[in-house]
Amino acid sequence: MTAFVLHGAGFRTDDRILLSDISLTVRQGRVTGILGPNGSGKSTLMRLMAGQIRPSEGEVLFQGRRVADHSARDLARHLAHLPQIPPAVPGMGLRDLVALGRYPWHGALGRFGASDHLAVEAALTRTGLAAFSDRQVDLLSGGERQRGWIAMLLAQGADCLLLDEPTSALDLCHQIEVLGLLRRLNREQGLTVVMVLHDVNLAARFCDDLIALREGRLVDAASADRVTQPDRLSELYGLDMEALAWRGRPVMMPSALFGEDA
Amino acid sequence: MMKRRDFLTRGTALLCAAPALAQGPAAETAPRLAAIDWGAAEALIALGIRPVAISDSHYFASRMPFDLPAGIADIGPFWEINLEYLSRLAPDLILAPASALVMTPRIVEIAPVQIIPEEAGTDRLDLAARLAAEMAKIAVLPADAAPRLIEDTRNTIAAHRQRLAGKGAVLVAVPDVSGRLFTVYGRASLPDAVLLRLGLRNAWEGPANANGTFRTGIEPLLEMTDINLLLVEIASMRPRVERALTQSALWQALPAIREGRFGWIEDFYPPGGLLSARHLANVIADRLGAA
Amino acid sequence: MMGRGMARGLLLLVCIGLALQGLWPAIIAPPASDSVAWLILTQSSLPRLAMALLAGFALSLTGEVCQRIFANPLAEPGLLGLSDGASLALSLCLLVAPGLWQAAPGLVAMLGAGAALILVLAIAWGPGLQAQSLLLAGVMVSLCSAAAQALLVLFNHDFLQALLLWQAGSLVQSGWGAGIRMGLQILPVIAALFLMQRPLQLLALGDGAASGLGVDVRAAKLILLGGAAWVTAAVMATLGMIGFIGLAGPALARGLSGRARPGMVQAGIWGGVLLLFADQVARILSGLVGDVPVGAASGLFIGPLLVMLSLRARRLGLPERGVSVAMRPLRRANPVVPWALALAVPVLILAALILGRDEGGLILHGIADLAGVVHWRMPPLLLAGGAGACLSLSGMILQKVLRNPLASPDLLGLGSGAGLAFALALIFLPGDSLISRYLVTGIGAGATLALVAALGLRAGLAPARVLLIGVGIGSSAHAFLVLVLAAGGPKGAALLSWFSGSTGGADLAQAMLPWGVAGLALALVLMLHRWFDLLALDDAIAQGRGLALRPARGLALLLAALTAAAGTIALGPVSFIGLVVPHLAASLGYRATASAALISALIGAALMILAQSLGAMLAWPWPMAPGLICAMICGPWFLWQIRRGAA
Repeated sequence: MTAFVLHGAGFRTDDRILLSDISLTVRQGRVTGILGPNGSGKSTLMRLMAGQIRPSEGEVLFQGRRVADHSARDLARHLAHLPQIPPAVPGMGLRDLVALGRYPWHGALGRFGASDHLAVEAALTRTGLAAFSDRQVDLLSGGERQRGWIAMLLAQGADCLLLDEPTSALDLCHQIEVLGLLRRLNREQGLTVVMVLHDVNLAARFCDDLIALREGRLVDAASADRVTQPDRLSELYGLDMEALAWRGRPVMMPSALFGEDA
Repeated sequence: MMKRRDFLTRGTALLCAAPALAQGPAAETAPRLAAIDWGAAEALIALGIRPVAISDSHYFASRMPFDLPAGIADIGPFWEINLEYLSRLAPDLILAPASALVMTPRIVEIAPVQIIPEEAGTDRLDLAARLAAEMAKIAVLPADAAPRLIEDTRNTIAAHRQRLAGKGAVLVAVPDVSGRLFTVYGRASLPDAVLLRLGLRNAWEGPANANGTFRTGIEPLLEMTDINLLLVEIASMRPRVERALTQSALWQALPAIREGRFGWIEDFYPPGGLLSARHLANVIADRLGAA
Repeated sequence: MMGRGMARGLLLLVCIGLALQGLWPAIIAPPASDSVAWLILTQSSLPRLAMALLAGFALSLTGEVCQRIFANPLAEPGLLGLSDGASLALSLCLLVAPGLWQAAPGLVAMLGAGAALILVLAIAWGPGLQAQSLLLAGVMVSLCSAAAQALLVLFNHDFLQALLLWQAGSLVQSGWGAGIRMGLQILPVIAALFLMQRPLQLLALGDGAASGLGVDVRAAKLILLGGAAWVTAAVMATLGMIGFIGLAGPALARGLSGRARPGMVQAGIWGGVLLLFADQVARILSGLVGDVPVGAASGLFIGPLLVMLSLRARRLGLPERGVSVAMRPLRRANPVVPWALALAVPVLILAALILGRDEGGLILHGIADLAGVVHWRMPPLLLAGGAGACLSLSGMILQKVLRNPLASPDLLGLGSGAGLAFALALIFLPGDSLISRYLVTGIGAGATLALVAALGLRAGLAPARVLLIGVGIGSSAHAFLVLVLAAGGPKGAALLSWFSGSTGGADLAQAMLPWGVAGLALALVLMLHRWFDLLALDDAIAQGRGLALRPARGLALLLAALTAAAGTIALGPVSFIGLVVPHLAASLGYRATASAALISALIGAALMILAQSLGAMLAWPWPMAPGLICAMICGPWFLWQIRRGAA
């Protein structure tokens, strides 16, 4: 079963080509990471998949149908997207924020029913935020806030999550915590997770498959082990990488770290 | 320079020809009139009738060349009449401009409303005379009351003609505080009508708006030779205006300034009626006759 | 790129052409140096050109400085309360100390602007002088001063009319003295502003980043704002109020250069060109209808310019994301509040009916008077309350949907549109034709709404673009209004009161109309509150939850516009209520759309009913517009709230 299929998808603005000729498959029930240097088109790919922008060429299929052909609410029931920098929500309580995730189910006029309440509570519990549910979102710590947004995605009840750099603002401890949460959600509830990541080693540890982009083109789309090879990463980042073996797993490091002048 | 109060005494002396202010038994039968329109109010007072209420009566009093009779109620500004108060005063008839029916249409619930037309482009004195005749009819005055008032006004103004013979063209203008812009009075304004009756020519023959005025820079004035320039004095502004004017090279270059044909006249009420016209004729004649 | 170059060239050519049109006779046949023509050329035409360029440069430059400090394209020194502070000072001085007013009006204007700035700074004083606190405090100070000024004018119209004319702003010159004096006042400060360019660039990165790079944020902002204030006040003291250049000059520079930060010199130069253009058109129009204040003429062009920019420019250099206001930390909503407010409305109405005033002073009405009292007082009370509810709802919706805490119903330009229609009807319909002001203003507001909606749709309903469109259309309509009034008859004076929000004209049926609209809008908002909650966050988030952005935002804006129109038709263009009441509701702990809508509507209604009853008594028999009273009551309270949030 596939979550996403892209056929020669590309996106351009008036004067720039941001993505071109991307063909790949994202499998359902797997954690897929998107890797690549800055400006390689990771966020653009993510927005294409989320249906926020339409491909200027080729097509993007979600669960067998073009993303644009899903109705907005129908898409949101199956696909939950979190942008790179969530907006500030002055004065909003955490539970209210998470409850927003239920919109695709109750819509504008539907009652906020028992199942909605259940979903919100479950999402709060799942993310370990039940104790904070009455706090204001802007007063939470960075890690708690990010988990709050993820709780909103969970409450949305979608089977596929798209996250654009969910760990970029977090310290190492919270990075592990958030990625561990996503991994568990994938294992235990079978959610498909697609996320942009920067740290190669975290990507190798927490993702099943990886998509590698460079200058708007697809470099690699394969299992995490295959992509996180020193030679392929060196090509991707244009930087010599080496693999260290540590407790039986490879750890990727830029060669420069071991150089004379490092 | 004469003070406004001097004119007031002279004005009231002329008023004596009109019936004395309604008092005694006549007041019982006279209709109770509320004047939202100032033109109507001025005509009534000139005819010796005291309206029960005038809109914005304090400002009215300050702009008119006579003292307001006591006991006239202020019913608020013309754009928002105090309806509750007016209804308590129980007038028999309300004299209002058409705009009052737009801003406070409910005045019709209080009493019948007589609309006082605003006719742009008509000679102000003719208009004032017609209004006075109309008001005399409404106030149930003797048939000769209005003609006598109109005749008096004509005579007062005409009395100055001889003294002013040969004075030629006159420009009446209000300078703004910066001394750069002037409001001049053109066709169908009160000064235009008064100058005509004084046997003088209005020097402003250019365009004018519905009020009969036009705001202009000083340039057109530079080309007016052989005119008498009369600036309207607004007391609070005069020192600043004078300072601004004396510093202006353009002002110094005006023919009327170079040749000393220039003076200040007392403020008047431009949309005014017969009494305002009489007052304006007096101040113009005093200024020009003295020069 | 080609298009930009052409636009630039075309604009310059037109400006040069217009300037030459006035100078042409002197160029083809140079007048003798003792002739009148020579005098006009050297003492009037040339100083006027120079003044336009200098003033336009200065105003646009200060606008650019403010826009960078506040990271807000709608910021200009006027937003800090400077202009309104100065003109209030002039009016007060004219009434209280005419001697001083005569001796040094420029000084008085400077003092007023300075006092306003100091007040704003004192209110927003806190670590880093937060931009949002400053802006909010500035807008409040300026609304309060404008309200005070409007009251002074209404009660002293004889005195202040000349002042109003002077404030309309004119570039007419007689000699070089004024220009040289103004130049000496502002050029050193402008030079100092240029020296501050680097800190200014760093400030644009945000307070944190700037102080991280070694900028003393507070000192830098103080110096920059102080300088901008000085320049603005000096120009205003010399020429009167010339609005919009500070807004449009930088916007034009951005549009023509295609860069989000065109630089101070560019902004200044295009501001100068723009003012020159506006002034030359004003000069030509003046020959036909009498002096046209350049402030009005510039509004005419700046409207279409802003609209064009909002449609064309790919990047506006505008923050598309919401900005938040530093208010006090959230208070928990008290469940008593809604009940108390719901009770307050009938209680206030009852109190307003029982208490009255006559020639003797305050009186209590007995049962016997009640029929008459209700007959006359009820419609204005209900009208004010209904309009208050409408405007508050409109403001709340706009602030959510446009994600701008400074959005208010008047930003949609409906007030100016309605006012223009009213003015046209008053002046050009035959004097004896009976028109209903409600019908006429309704038509005006409707037409403006249709225009804003059509243009807004073309701009994809993006919040920042809709804001610019509203401001643009509003400024054009307002400029037309000034022109119409300049050419019109005495009836125009009635408009003065309409603009301050008079309630005296309504009958019971008309007074119920805004209640109906408010009720309908409230019902819709309560039904669709989730749309509003999502829209208020962020496009990506809203879309990710399956919200169809365009229809939702379109409907929200339509709702805001309809309530704004109902409120404006009932009351006139009163902006204060719509701006403040949603913040009031938020400070009481009601932020989520559903509860905020209900509470805002109730607060708006209660406040306006209170203000209407006070206004009927304070200066009896003269009415005081409830909108103005509201500003006088709530303004200080709101400033104090900002102060507590900023500290």
